[in-house]
Amino acid sequence: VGFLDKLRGQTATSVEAPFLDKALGDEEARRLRSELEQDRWQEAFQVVDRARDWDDREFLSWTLTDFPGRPRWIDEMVKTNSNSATAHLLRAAHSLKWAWEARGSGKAESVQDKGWDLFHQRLQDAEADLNRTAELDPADPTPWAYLLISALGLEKGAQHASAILAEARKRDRWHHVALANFQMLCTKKWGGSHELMFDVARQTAREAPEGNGCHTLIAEAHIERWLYMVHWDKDIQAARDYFERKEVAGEIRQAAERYLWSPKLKKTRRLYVDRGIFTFCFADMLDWNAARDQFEAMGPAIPEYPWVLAGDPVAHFTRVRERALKG
Amino acid sequence: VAQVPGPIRAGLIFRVGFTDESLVNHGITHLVEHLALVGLGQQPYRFGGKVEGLRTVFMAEGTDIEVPTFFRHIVATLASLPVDRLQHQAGILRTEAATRQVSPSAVALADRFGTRGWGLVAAQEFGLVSVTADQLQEWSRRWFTADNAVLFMTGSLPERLELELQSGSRMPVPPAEPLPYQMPAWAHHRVPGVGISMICHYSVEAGVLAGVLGRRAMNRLRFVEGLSYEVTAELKRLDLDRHHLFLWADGLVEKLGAVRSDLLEVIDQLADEGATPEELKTESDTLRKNLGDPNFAVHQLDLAATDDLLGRPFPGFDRRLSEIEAMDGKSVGRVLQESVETALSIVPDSVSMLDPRFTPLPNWSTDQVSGREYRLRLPGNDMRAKLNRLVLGDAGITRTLGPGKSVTVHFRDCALANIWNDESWSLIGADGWRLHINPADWKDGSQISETLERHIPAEIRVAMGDRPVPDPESLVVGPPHKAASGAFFSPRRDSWWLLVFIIVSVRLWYVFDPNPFRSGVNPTASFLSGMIWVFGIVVSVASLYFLYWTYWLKRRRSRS
Repeated sequence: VGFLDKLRGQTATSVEAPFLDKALGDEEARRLRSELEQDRWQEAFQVVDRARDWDDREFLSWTLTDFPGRPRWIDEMVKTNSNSATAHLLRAAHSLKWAWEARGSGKAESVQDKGWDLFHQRLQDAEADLNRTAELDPADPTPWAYLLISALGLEKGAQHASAILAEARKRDRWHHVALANFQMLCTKKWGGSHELMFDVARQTAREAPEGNGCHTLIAEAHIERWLYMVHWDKDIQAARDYFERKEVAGEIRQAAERYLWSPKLKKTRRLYVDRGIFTFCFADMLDWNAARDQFEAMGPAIPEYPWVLAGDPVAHFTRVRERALKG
Repeated sequence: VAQVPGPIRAGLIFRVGFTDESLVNHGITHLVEHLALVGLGQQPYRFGGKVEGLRTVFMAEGTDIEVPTFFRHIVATLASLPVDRLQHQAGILRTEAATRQVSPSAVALADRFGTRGWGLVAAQEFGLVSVTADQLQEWSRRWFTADNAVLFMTGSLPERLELELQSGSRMPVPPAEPLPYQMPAWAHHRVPGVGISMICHYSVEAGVLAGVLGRRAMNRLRFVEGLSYEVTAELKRLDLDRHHLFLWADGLVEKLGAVRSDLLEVIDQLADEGATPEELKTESDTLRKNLGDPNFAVHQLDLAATDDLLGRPFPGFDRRLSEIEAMDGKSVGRVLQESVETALSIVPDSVSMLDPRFTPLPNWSTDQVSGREYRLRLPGNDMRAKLNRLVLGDAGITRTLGPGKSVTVHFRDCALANIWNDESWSLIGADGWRLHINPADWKDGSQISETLERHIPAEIRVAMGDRPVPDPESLVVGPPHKAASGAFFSPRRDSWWLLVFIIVSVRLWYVFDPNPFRSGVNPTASFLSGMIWVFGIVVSVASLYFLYWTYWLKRRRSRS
């Protein structure tokens, strides 16, 4: 089989069928999600409650609440643990996603009347829960990182949001998701500008320690720039060539040097997603060797972001992976 | 008086500036200054006047006949201002203001002081609209007096120089009182560079600090990094004890992030290490060289006269030189360390501020008043009606523009109320927040007018005339701001309309031709009937396919 695989330019890992994974490549999160699907929330609650590594806590809060609609267990959990920061945090994380479910992922002009009402209401509900979380667990940066998402939805502006970011960073200076959320708020599509977005990414990359996940912000910024070319500028030719530009590819490689390829690589649960983000860029940079290394480290689980930006995430991931593994 | 070769150069300085004004009469000193110059027209000598924060200066450069003539004219017109020229001069000043750009340093002062004191440097001169002839005369009588003035002059004092100013009293310097924001702070503004404003106490070290900081920043940003063209460090006196130190560097939009980082690094390095002996020597050498220049004496006279007027005797540059020569570079660093605690950085929208020391200034009011809530005079499904709220109470007024976004003006802190001919109000708070309210935009708007009439004191009201047409601040004029489903036709609804059309069409065909496949007498009619049905089926299939693409597929995509 190995010989035949080689003939076909594939390796053994590629035979595993890719699948969209709401657990973002994390085994434990996958198992806990299947429990939650049965409305059995106690173990998931305990795991998040015990997590005092802030990156882990945020990762679990997000992945364990990524369900459509309002699962029954959410309010039950809060009712049972009304003075628990974790319970309020989990409900807030879900409310944020639920708000976007009402709004949809399209441009503002495509959002329906009722969608806006629900969107705003759910964001405000999330804010109430997040403020309560911050009150109950003052050391946790996660509620501040999530308040940046509601600030983005409520269009409060970068200046206002940077006060929230400062609170998150007081608790964890290199909180990857807080910085990534702030960067998203600074994108042109959310009322910022390309310059502002890149300034956040570069300022972070310049100061962040080697091996830290915050270096992914550079890759994410370039993906957002490319996305704007496709959907707002409608400049398909420029978008096609974007990642092949010398300065773009160079900056992404430099960020990978400081993170994925560094001996000081900090292995967090979010690493799987970060690999996907860099791999998405490597593929568009036509750097198939770099992409193959990451595919071999990743496995078949597909986080929705960033693969969904190119259409069907599974199809795109599969196509790119096959190309990369061919060498 | 100092002996300097060349024509006589003289200045008459009064201890009155825009920091003595309020937002309502802001510009009144400027108006007095302009009216005092009325009648001079064009002269064969150089002359002029200017209003600064703490002083107003009339200057002239000419012969021993021209200069006294100029000052006699100024003194005479100050005693009896040509108020018949008030509107004419106010028009000129409004033109001057319209063409003048607010400097980045003024932007920083406005952020720091709001609409009082030094914050007025960036404010519109509402006094040009509101001030009456009597108020102008009164202002002149109060501030432009012999006891509140100092004259300096180069050359010999002319024999017949008698300036008959009215007597009055020496006016104290108003303390510079910043708004109670947490510092260090930062704010976004439309500026073509990065500025860092700091407050430092009056000292020789502060003067040296400005020089060293400016040179270091210029060296790094322009000569080494090539990021900026203009790099300046400006020191301005705010009151008896405090100075405003403003460090500024411009740059291309894509380079401004690097400009910010470099400026902060220059500041941090100087604060940590202090000035080097070489830098102190450069400062003392520069001052020594200036002291050898006869023209520098004019600057020295100006400073000495101003210090005397402000109530702080000028120690003289010789003493300053010896102090710099004896200075320890570390003391410059210490002054900067203290100043950084008060830093306010202004950056353009393209630049972020992730430095954890800097807190953003609030870009929405942090408090709201309680009282009666008003809604816009618009249908409930209009987004403007959903997002906008007005709360009016006895303490003030809050307008909410959306969740978490509100602007509040407290009546006790209201610095100015502009009243327009359409009965709308523009309220400006002491902190700089501004609210425009047209009662006609709101349901039960007459109640809003009554409440504002009751709470806004007459002395802060300024009649402004007509609103622009169309009014950019109108909340109810313009097409409805409806969300997607508010439209009668939409991709989703179009699909359903198409389905209805197909059903109705098929039904109509059936009415006309109930038995299409029955072999009829007329074979042509039978053939046509069959064709209609075939066409109908094709259209139906195509429509369903269209429906699938526009609706179901879109829905599936949005879910994914």
